[in-house]
Amino acid sequence: MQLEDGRTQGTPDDGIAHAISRINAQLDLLSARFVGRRALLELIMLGLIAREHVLLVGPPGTGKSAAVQSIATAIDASFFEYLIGRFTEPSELFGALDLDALKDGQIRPVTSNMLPEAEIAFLDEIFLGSTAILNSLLKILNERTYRRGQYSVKTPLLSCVAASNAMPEDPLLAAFADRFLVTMFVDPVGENELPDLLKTGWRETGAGAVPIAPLPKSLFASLHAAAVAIDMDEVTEAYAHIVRKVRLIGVVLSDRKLVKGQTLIAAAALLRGSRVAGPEDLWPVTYLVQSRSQQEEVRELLHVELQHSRNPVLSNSVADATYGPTAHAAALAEQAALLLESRPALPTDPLHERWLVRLETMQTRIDAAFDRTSLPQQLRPVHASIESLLARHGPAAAGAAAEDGPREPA
Amino acid sequence: MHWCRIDPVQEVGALLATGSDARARVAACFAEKSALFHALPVGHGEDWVAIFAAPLEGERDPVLPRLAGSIPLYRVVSGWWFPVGTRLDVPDHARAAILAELLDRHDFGLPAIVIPRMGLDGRGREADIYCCGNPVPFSDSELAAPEDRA
Repeated sequence: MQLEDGRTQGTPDDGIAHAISRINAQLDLLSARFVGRRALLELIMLGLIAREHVLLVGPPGTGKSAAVQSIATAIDASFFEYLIGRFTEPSELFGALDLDALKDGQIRPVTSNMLPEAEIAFLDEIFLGSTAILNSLLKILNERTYRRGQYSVKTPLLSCVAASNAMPEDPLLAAFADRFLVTMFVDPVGENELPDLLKTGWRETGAGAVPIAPLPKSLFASLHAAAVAIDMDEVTEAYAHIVRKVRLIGVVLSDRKLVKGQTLIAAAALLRGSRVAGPEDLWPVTYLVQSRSQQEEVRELLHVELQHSRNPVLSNSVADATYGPTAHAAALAEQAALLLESRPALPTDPLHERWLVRLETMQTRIDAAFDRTSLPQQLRPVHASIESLLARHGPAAAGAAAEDGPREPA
Repeated sequence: MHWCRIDPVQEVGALLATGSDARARVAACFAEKSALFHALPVGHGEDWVAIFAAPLEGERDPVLPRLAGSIPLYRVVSGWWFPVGTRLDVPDHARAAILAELLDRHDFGLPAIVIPRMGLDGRGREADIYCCGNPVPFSDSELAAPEDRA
């Protein structure tokens, strides 16, 4: 329906639409620097708009810190980052005591350029922080307040991005981790993306990174205000249904997290260009789950509920969050690569025939999901390797079967 | 009741070959493949053959051969098989009850393969149902060459 001012009902006004297009353009520029990291950048951007915190879990050297630094410098906001160690003192994050104030009997830290004054924060190895650090952080994350003794100050924090090599097993640390609404598991880039990774890395090493004009923080304030005004009525029941279903498989989602999850859904709807959240915007629920295996379970479990997911700005996060063709291709490629690696050393090994049978099964699975003429990029090399192995070692049927793919149902 | 197309990301658990040459095609296919596949259960009619995935002895993951021109199937609920990339367009919680009602109304047994007749809009109201009776290993079936039968 057209409104009097020419807009379609349910779409944001021109100012917000312009802000969304600027976010999209910034993501394009940033993701060109980080091969295979568009989804990570998108989720940090989503966190900044929703004013929620993001936890990145993955091995060192996967570009987590560089991506956060890059996004922080692409926004006109104060940034604080710190690599936390077991012996990090609270003052290293929150500021040392002001000695002049102390002489007057007052406890007042010098917070200038420290975490309490940051609008964007990046804390690496977050779970190595001491109890004193984590307690102070908890208050900042939850209440945007830093308190030390009688001293208390409101913090301007938009979003805190934290990183860790692994999720903590300690229940107390797990409770702390629950304060991060979005959890993303970051893996090294795939084999197929290695040439791009090397090229991009070399280009940046030689010429240096071209500066990206920063976005004003007022743009994020406008988007946040628009996000919290999103109409959620249409998705409330569907969201509740998804939560019930997810809980049935044993995934623990705290009530606090579920309520806050709505801010992600609202921000996703806004970035899709709508003032009304719909079934397309429920995909962030996958990122509420803080276990890698459970995230995978949830993707498969909700593949029907999340099949309509789409977002032109956050396309890679949507693909990662839902078990659609992209995720399926990635899963098949990974399984096929592992299968190829498990090749018995000798063709005379009795296990060799079983291995060939499993290879043929893998081709059957790939053929069922993808047309041979439009195989996703990451599947092409493994598919070709298997095809070649079956033609060489397998029964003659391998080649014959490959002549045409599976038949479409009538 | 409608069937509709969805992303073809379901786990393939069976294949269906149809047509007057289906039996011959499946027999020829198995004759050329590893004997390990011969233990897979098959069900068949005059002009169709269904091959069901099963794990090799001592293993966990099911295996399935490639069969040119076959329709890949996935298990929707126990005993019910749909083509990969299709689903019954009803809420999840109602699906089992609706399929049970279909079974009662049409008086056939499981396992059953449902092949929807899809329109150009990716939806269909009608479907062909193939009742598989009691699938037996290929090597015990009529499809295997007499000298190969167990």
